[in-house]
Amino acid sequence: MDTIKQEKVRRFEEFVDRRLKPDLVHAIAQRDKVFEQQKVFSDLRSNIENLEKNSVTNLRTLVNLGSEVYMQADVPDTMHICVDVGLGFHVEFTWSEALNYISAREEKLARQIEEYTRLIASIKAQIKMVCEGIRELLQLPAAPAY
Amino acid sequence: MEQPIKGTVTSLSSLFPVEEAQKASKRVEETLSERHKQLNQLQDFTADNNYLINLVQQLPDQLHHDIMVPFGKAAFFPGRLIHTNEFLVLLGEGHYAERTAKQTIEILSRRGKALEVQVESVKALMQDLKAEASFFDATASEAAEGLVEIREDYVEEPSPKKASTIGIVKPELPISSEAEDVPRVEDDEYARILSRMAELEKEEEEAEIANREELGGAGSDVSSGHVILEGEMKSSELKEKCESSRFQSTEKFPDHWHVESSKATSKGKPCPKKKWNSQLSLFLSSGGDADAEMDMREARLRWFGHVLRRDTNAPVRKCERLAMDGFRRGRGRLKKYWGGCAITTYSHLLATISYCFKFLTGSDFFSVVLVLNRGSLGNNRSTYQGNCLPENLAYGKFNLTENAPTEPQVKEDVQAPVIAENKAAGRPIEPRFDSSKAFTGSIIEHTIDVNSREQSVSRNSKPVSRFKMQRK
Repeated sequence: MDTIKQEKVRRFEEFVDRRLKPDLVHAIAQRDKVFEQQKVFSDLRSNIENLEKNSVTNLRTLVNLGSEVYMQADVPDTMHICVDVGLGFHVEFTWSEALNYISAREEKLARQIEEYTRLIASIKAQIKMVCEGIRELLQLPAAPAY
Repeated sequence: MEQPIKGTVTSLSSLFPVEEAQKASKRVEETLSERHKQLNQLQDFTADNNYLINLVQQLPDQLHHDIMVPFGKAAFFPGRLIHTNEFLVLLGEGHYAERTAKQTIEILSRRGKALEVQVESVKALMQDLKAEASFFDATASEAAEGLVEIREDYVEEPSPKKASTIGIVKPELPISSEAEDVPRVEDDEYARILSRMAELEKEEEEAEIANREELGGAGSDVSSGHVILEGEMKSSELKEKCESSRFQSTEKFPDHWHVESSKATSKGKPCPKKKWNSQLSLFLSSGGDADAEMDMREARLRWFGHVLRRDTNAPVRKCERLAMDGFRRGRGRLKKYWGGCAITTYSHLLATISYCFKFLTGSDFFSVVLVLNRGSLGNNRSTYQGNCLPENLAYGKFNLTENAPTEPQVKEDVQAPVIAENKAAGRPIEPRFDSSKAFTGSIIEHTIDVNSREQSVSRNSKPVSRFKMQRK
């Protein structure tokens, strides 16, 4: 009886440690990536809006060549901007088109974030449940609610 | 004290459990993999740096290059590089400098060198870690195989403990009657011990007399507690076998020693050792002390020596080992035990010895000192309280023991007659005196005595550590 119980507890713990926790870590990492993307696009949107506001038609900027070595670059025409649409494709947009795209993209990213948040929550819930199961098996007093 | 076990044998697995060793090796492996990652990263940096150097070299070749100018991470504009010979280089800490292509290349190559140094250091580190990992692996496997480690401490002195125990074991003939009236008989047990002691001493006396007959000639002897002067002067003429030269050696002594020895005979003391003890006491008082003082010392040390030479199972010695916790001396009794008095005398003696041995090899002297102290420690605990009074010590033998196992021949020396060697050929060599607890107890109990002893010894070149060795 005791050995069966112990075996069960062991398997539960293994499940938590080997399956649920790595899953949780992975999900959180994914969500962070999406957050980053979201930030990139919101930056892009604010930049484009800035350009629009100041009606900048040509731009002089510094390009990072790597290792913090910069060189001046000249953009003769800022009206057309190439935006990354994913999978290595870039689409040439005008400012308004770019803004539309960015808002759509942001919406999608927000949905993704929501999704990941749910996933994370469910994984956490599962972990909690398994822990409770272990507690019941061992007939320990209930942990204080928090 | 403790048995003279020379080495210790420990199984490797007890020192380094297999699992622990494996765990350690695993940890080292983890660190190693981390370092590996670091190395890879550094190598990437180096590759990037080299690529950049190439790029910077090529850029000024043309006036401008058509590129896509990044605009944030997700967007770029089609544009071109201009001012191809002007670079803005990060120097560190947020400081930038405008450099030409050539200067930029110099900076980058310096960075490259720094990176190489880092790579080298990480590689060296990894080498160390690999060695460590292999060591742990080896340890783990060896521990699993059940390897043992044998360790033996290097002892330069010729094991004085052994000598002292031999000395202790020696039977001797002191006066038993004095010994008996001195201690208060407090219970039956004690009385029994004393009577047994008297018995044994009688036996000894007989043996002593028998020995004396032999001693007329060359004298030797093992059973009677043959006292030999031992010195380490290397002059060959002074080297003599103790068995044959006990009395001859006196010839080399200063005149008053001769006198003393003859005096001993004239007194009609049966014990052959008496002569030596007389000489000894004379030596002690060679500064010109009064006879009374001399006699007191002699008597004190003689009893002390006697007790030391007794078998560890002899009642006198058993008394030392009686549990004395909480024992208090009766009112009006002396504070010091007789052992303590003997130690004070020893202190004088030690001072003289250290003087004599000043020019001799250190280790021999130290071992002597050890023996002395050992004896005093051993007797501190004795319950023969009354014996510290000189008048109670009509007889006693002072016997300093020294044994140099590496030296089969015992040499005699005029310079250092104080040290007596108890050569017990037929005697069991293994130490029988193992009441180390009683010893430590006595140290605590008689701190004053210990101090005085230490002071006397501190006149030597390096006695303290020896003491510690002795006392543990």
